[in-house]
Formats: sequence, C-alpha cells, structure tokens
Amino acid sequence: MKAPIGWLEQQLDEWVDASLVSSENAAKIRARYTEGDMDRPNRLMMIFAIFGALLIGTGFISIFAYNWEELSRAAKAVIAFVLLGLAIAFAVYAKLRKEGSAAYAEGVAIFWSVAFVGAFAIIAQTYNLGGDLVSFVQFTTAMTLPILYIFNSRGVAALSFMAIVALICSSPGDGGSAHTISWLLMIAWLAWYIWRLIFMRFEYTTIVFNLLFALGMLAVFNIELNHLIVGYELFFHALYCGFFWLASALLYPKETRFYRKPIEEFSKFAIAIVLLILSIDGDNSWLLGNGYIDYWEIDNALFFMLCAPYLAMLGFFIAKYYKERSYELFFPVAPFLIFFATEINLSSDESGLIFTLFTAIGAVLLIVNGTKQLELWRANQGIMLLSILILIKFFDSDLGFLEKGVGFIVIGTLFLGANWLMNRFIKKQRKVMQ
Amino acid sequence: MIVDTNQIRDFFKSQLGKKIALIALFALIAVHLLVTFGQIARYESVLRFGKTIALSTRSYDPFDAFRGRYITLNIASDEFATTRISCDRRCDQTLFVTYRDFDGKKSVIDNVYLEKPNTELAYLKLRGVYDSYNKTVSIDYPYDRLYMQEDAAIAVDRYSSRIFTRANDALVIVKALNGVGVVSDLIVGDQSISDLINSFEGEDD
Repeated sequence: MKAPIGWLEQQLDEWVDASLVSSENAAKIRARYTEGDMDRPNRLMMIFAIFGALLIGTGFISIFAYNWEELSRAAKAVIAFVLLGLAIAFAVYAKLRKEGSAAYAEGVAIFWSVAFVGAFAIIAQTYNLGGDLVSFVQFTTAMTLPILYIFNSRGVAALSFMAIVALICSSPGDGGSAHTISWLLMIAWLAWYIWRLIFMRFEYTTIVFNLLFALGMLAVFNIELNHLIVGYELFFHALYCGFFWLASALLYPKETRFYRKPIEEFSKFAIAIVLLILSIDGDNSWLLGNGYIDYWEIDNALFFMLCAPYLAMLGFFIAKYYKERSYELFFPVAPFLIFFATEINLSSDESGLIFTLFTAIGAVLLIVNGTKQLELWRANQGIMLLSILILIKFFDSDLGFLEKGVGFIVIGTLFLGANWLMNRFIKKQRKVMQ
Repeated sequence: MIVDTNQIRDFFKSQLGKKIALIALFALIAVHLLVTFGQIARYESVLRFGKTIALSTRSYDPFDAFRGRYITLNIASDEFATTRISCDRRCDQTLFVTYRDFDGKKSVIDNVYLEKPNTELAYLKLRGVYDSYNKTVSIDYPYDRLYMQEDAAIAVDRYSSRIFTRANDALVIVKALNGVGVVSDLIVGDQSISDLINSFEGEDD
C-alpha cells in the first residue's frame, strides 16, 4: 500500500527528535514505504509531459483549423499523415525503448490522441465532411480510447472522460442513437476506471479520478433527469451521492481514510444541501408537482436499477461497519427518507418538519460523535449543518427584521462560543491522552 | 477478493502480456492509418473522378472548434414522385438518386432507386422519407458545411446580405462517385464563393 510519503518522512524526523521512534526503526519504516517507490514516476516530469503534449497538439489543431486555402488537398493530406505518423513513431519508441517510463507514456499518449483528432479535423475540412461536432467528438473519442488502455495514460483518461460527459450532456435523455453511442463510450471508459480501482486504488491519481468521476457523473445524472419533477430529481441526486459515499466507504476502509476523504466530503455536502432544501417550509408544489410523486409510474427500470445495488451496499456497510460508523448512517439513509416523504403525499408543513428534524438529528449526531472521538472537523460539520438549518428556519418564520437581526446575533454568538468550548475540550482531551 | 489481482498484474508484466500489449499497439496503429488513409482515398477519388451535381442553398457562417470556420449549407429537401417504393403511410428509406447531367443550373433528379443503379448518370446514396399517400419521396441532403479559410469565412459573414439575395442563386457543387458525394464548392451567381469574396474586398479597398 502506498502512503503519502512526503508527510511520513517529515513526521518521522519529528518523531525521532521527540524520541517517539528510534532512528533505527525510523530507517526501517522509511525503507518499507519507499522500497516500491524507487521506480515511481517523477510527478513534476509527468505533469510537464502532459501539458507539453497537450499544448503542442492543441496548437497544431488551432493552426490547421485556420484552413489554409493556399495549401493544396495533397499538401493537407501529407500534413495529416506527417502529424499522425510523428505521433505514432513517438508512441512506438516509447513502448519499445522507454517501457516503464510514465512521463514518456503520458506524453506520447496525449500527443497521439491530439494528433489523431488534428489529422481527422484536417481531412474533414479538406473534404467538407458533414456531421456536427457531437459526431466528430464521438468518432475521435472512440478511436483514441484504445490509446488509454495501451499506455494506461491518466491524461488521455481525463480528456476522454470529460469529452464523454460533455457528449452525454449535449443530448440528454433523448434515447437517440447519438445518446446511445455516448453511453457506450462511457462503458468503454469505465472498464479502465474499474481496472484502476482494482489494481491501483491507493494511488493519488486514482483518488483524483474518483472525484472527477463523481463530479462528472453528477453532471450527467442531473442533466439526464432534468425533465423530471424537482422532488424526484432530488431523490435521485441524494441516492447518487449516497451511492458514492457507500462506494468510497467500502472501497477504502477505515484505516485508509485519507483516500476516501474527497468523495466522502463531496457526497456528504451534496446530501446535506438536498436535506436543507427540503427543510424549507411553505408552498412546496415546485418540488413535488401535484402534491406527491408516484415513483412507480415514472421510471420503474431506473428506480430499481439504482435502488437494488444501493440497498445491497447499504446492507453490507451496516453489517461490517455499523459499530464504528453508525453516526454516519444519516447520510446514506437520507435518500430513503426523501423517497417516503415525497411518496406519501405529506402537506408542505409536515414534510418541512420531518426533514428539519432529520437534519437536526444528523447534525447533533455529528457534533456528539466528533466531540467523543476528538474529531474537530466532524464536530464542526455538525455545527455548520445545524446553524444553516436554524438560519433557514429563521427566514421561514414571520419575524420582523429587528427580531431576525437580534436572533442572528444571539445564535451566531452561541455557535462561536460552542465552537470555542468544543475546540478547548478536544485539545484538552488530546493532551490527557498523550 | 474473488479475482486474484496479483496473478493478473503478473500476467501483464510477463513476456506474453507484453507481447499482447505490443500487438494491441500495432493493431491500433494499423486502424488509425487505415481509417485516415481510407478517408482521404475515398473522398479524393470522388473529387477527382466524380460527376457534378448542383443543389441550391442559403448559407451563413458558424464555427467549429476543431475544424475551423465553415459556411452552413442549408440545402432544401427535394421532392420526387415515384412508385418504386411501397410502404404503409410514411417510411424512411435509403435511396439511390440519379441526376441529369450538370448544365450550370440546379441539378434535376432523374430517378430514384432502392438498389445501386447501373447508369452513366451521377447518383448519390441518400436518405429519404416516402409518403405513400402522395406517392412522393422527400430527399434529405447530408451536406451541411463548406469549410473556408478563417478570414474568408468571416468575410462571407460580413457580405452575407449582398451574397445571399433572391437574385443570386447559390448552388452547392457536389462531386459524386459510386453514390458517395463530396462538397467541392459553392457557386453564387456564376462565381465561386472565394472569387466573389475577393471581388467584394477589392471593391471595398
């Protein structure tokens, strides 16, 4: 397992100075975590390779997009071939002579992809080929996806994922062939991502991809569902975020919290927003359409396709981690509360009250657990959630500006005080434990 | 875990794994070269050996991030009465449309076939919607753009009100070979669009 070595090295020196670890043991620990890293690519070199190749390729595309009329068709064909040939030659060289060099692999993979797009753009403009931008991007993405597999290129993966997300979002839910092709491309990309999750899930770039994937799919999901009633959309939104929360909790168990942190925080934040929206009192017809949502009528296939694996994951999580992480169940359970509350035709006030209570209980659980476990960040999350909830309730109330103003000041002061007290308590407890 | 990841990892590091990766690399190179060369060969042969068809259009100037500026060709659908097609009410069909020889004006449809015709006339493979009530087929043209050098395309936009008037008949020149069509020029009045732009810019100077 790879760990954040820079941090460890720095800490080891401090531990040795504080006589917590002997220098012999520090050397052993250092050796244990750096052994496998000798052949690890130089990150700076790799970033330069990615940006260099990307900039050169984009430059070529822009220059040729000028569409030089002075150049004959034959000249343009030669340019297209030279560009592609050059990229292929570099790719073969990298594969045969520089196998194992991630910087080379990234550079040539991106250059090859961009060169293919450039070559094809030249051909399309030379022969006035029809077809819109979507079909052009689909074709070039399909042709360059294998490069991702051959070179395991993170740069190509990021570029192609963004292209596929843009493609799906450009024709949401229309069921046409262009939309189907975009989803097939996504499946082809997903195979690489899953492969990465199996073999390299503790690498930094995989963590970046986890977040990129979650954000990209969130965009896809919201655009695919934007024809639905807002309340229904909110349910799927929460379900989606809960799905990622559970996936990261199961993929990255407790002792590797560092790796699941980005997704976990993102999912919690997104679910909290949904709960806060639903806590608002008053007319909620904009949320729920005619009063309630008939989930069974709208989209059975989608509903069961998402709920069945979700429930399985939730069950697995409860069975394995209930004791240590029960306070966090609040987040993955939230989608089901949304489901029931929107399904049983509640009045606006009733649904507002249910979500207010649920969110408040969740916030209190976070505060209590954060204080008990001496996790200031978790306790602060609870405080933040509770304070936003109170603010919402304040705006919902019929109080005048003066009363509201005084109320804000009082509550704000109370929260600052609570935060200060908790901070002191946690620091004290930590000292006692030391 | 059900899958033994170490075994799979070792496989990719083995000689056989490396060989497979190399084969995949060269297969992809072959596909990329074949697709690129195939496209060039296909469309180049149409432009060199194809017959001319002219279709009328009204145009304007948009932009494509990868392929540069182009003039959008709004080619009107053609209607053609035929009894060669039979279907209930309306149906989508792939058709082979033959055109009478180009005489400087808009090309006239000679006939419509469901199979590749054995003819000396220029023909295109197109999509059409057949209306069995009127016994006519509405033929759509897939040619939607003519790429131009950036400054020339901007000039088309600038002079569009002078170029695309009712008096000026704008014709898209399409070269056709074995059913494949490639747009080769846009003729306005009796001048190529590039020449027309040059003459306007000369007048302005």
